Amino acid sequence: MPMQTAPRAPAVAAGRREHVTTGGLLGFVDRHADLLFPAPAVLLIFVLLIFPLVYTFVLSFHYWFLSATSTPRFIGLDNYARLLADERFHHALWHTFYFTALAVSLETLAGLGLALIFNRNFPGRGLLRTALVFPMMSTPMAVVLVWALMYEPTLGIFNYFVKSLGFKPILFLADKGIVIPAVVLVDMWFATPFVMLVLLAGLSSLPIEPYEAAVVDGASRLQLLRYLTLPLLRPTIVVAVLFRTISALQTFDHIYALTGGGPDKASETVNLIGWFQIIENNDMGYASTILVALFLVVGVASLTLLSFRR
Amino acid sequence: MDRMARRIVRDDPRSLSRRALLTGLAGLAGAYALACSPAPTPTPVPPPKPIAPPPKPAPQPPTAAAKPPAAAPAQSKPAASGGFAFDRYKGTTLRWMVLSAPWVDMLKANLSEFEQLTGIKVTIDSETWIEKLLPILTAGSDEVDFFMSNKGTYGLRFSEAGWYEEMRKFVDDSSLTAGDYAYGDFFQSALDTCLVDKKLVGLPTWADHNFYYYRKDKFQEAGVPLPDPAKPLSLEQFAEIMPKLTKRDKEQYGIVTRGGARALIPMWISWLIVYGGNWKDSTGNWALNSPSAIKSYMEYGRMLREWGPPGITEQTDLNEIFCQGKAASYINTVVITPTLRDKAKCGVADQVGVSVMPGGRPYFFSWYMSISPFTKKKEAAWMFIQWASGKKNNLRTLLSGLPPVRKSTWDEPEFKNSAAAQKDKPLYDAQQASIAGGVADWLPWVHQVLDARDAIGAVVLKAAGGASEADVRSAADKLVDQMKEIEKRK
Repeated sequence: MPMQTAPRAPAVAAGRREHVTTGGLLGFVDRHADLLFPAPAVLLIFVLLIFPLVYTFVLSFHYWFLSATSTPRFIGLDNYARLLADERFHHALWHTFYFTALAVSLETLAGLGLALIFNRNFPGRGLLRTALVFPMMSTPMAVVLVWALMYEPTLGIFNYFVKSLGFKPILFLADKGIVIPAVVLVDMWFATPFVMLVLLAGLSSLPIEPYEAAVVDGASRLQLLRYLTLPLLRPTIVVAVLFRTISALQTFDHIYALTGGGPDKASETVNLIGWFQIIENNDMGYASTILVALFLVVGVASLTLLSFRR
Repeated sequence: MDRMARRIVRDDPRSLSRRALLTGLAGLAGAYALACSPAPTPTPVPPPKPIAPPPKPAPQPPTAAAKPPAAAPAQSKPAASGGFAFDRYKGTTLRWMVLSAPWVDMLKANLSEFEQLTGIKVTIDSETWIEKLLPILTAGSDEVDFFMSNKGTYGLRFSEAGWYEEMRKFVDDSSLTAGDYAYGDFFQSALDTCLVDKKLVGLPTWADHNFYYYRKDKFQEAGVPLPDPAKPLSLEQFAEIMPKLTKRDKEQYGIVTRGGARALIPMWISWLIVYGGNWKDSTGNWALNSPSAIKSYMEYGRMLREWGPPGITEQTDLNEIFCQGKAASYINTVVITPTLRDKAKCGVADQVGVSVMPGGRPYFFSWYMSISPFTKKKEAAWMFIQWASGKKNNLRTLLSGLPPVRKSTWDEPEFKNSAAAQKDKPLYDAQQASIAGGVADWLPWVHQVLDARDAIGAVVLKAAGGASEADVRSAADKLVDQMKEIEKRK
């Protein structure tokens, strides 16, 4: 005990502590701790999030082709006018919503079902749950190429069965009408385990008391699900849907590798045309405008979803 | 107690309310979404593709693509009489920015020969070369002395920016060019791919073109004579044999080839050129709605629809379809030849024969070596390009398994006496005929060439979908308007 107090007591008594904290570097740090400590994080956010955002927004008002022979030229709202008149963008926007709505709803339903199953105890539960998480750990591009081969009308396994039953092969990736559902199926394979894990975590944290009370009152399993589980799980479901929506709105790799936006642009999403404008056409100004539009779509969708959580 | 503490925290004006937190989270999510999107950082440049696009110079329409190779006169004079000496720029150090490719590796392996010959040191820079090259050229810096590029991806942009040194003056200068260089020995298609606005902007490297691969057993079964390697089937003959080779009920197709809108252009170009069409007419107007063009859409479309497997897209693995025995013939690039002839990779490898494309006008592509206008070592750089594109290195190219760009290469004794030449004569005959008939300007001369490919390919696919000729003509008229609009974009 004496060791704790003896060395510090004289300094405090002589007012030295005050002297140390008010002068020099330490004093400066002490006085501005509220600014200095968050500074690295703020700087990181600025560099990685705010700057690209602002720079993209600024570029969207410019004409700049990545030839690097000319500097960006300010053109006001011309890029936005072009965007509004661009049929390719309109189609891509529709495809983005269609893909997102179909993918997120199916993944949520499947994820919820799986979470309810895995919330119960049964032999082999741990093993199966681990197996179901494998898609999240796989390399997307490699897996997508396997899916592309499975979808192939002449060689693919799916069409092998279709043809065995005497039907004509289904042109999964070459038929404009079914290409997006075909891509959604691949997305489901990747993303359903994520939804399942989030909902499983939510289920495991639900209180037991309301269930006990409901069971005492004679509630059936369906009633428990309808009137207790789903309402209690709603905030978790919204979080899962929010994350999946943001991710689905931006999906790029699956679609690019499976269809390249085809056939005849029938699976082209906003993110894809942004990529095409940057990488293929080097049209940085217009690409930025497309990305600002995507940002607005994602922002509005996120805020809308969050309002359901309250 | 907990509840009270939470209320206190919530009532504290400095604390974060749940609403503010959620709103902030939504904002961050949005920001994250944008940040994770392909942000327009100024790095991305179309990645170098092995089969990249050489377009067509708009002001010099059909000639380049439509004419068969014309022999250009040899320009160089005997070394002794012209005062030429390879070691004239001894002690110079050059920097070459070039893609990573087997052909470049071959040169690297023989670099000591060049250094001994000239006393010039060459640094080869292939690491993210194009990303580095663009800012260097933009800055007008002399950091790079010569570089690789190609007509389709870079030709128009580099030419407009003034990044190509005119090369003909080096070729024609007997004090700078060895007498046995033989400029006239290059195939015309190879020179055409180095001509940008009638200016020679580089010297070709190795060739890439289409082949017509066929299954010997399937042809024999159907009683169809095997195609001659160097003598192309006419498109009419091709259309005659296809039904004999196609048995759709047994999933046996006469042909498999590219069917994605963008990917099919280097295949379809043969039909356009053979039927007498071209990108533009003699007055410089888009000619993609000409009768020849309409016929090319209809016939290519018919091929896909009637004799090809269903559902071909940009991503379809065509090799697999052919190698698993589903097609009697296959049109695609020459670079897949080793795969198709490898028994471990292709189930029909021992039955594969090769011939020049039906119609005899395959697309032709070659990367070329150009000198930077900003370097002070142009002549020394020319010494390297001269060496690299000379007869000896073309022979090495052929011996390494790549198609060369000089006519005389196949006649070199070292090649003729090689085991490969004895064993694979049909392959080399087909190679020569393909390069000789090659269409260098197989892409339209516009900046946004991929948009153009999509638009043209869509008309072909409309025909493939079974549209009437009137509908295809109407789509072609719209295509011309689209091309005018695409042409305006920089």
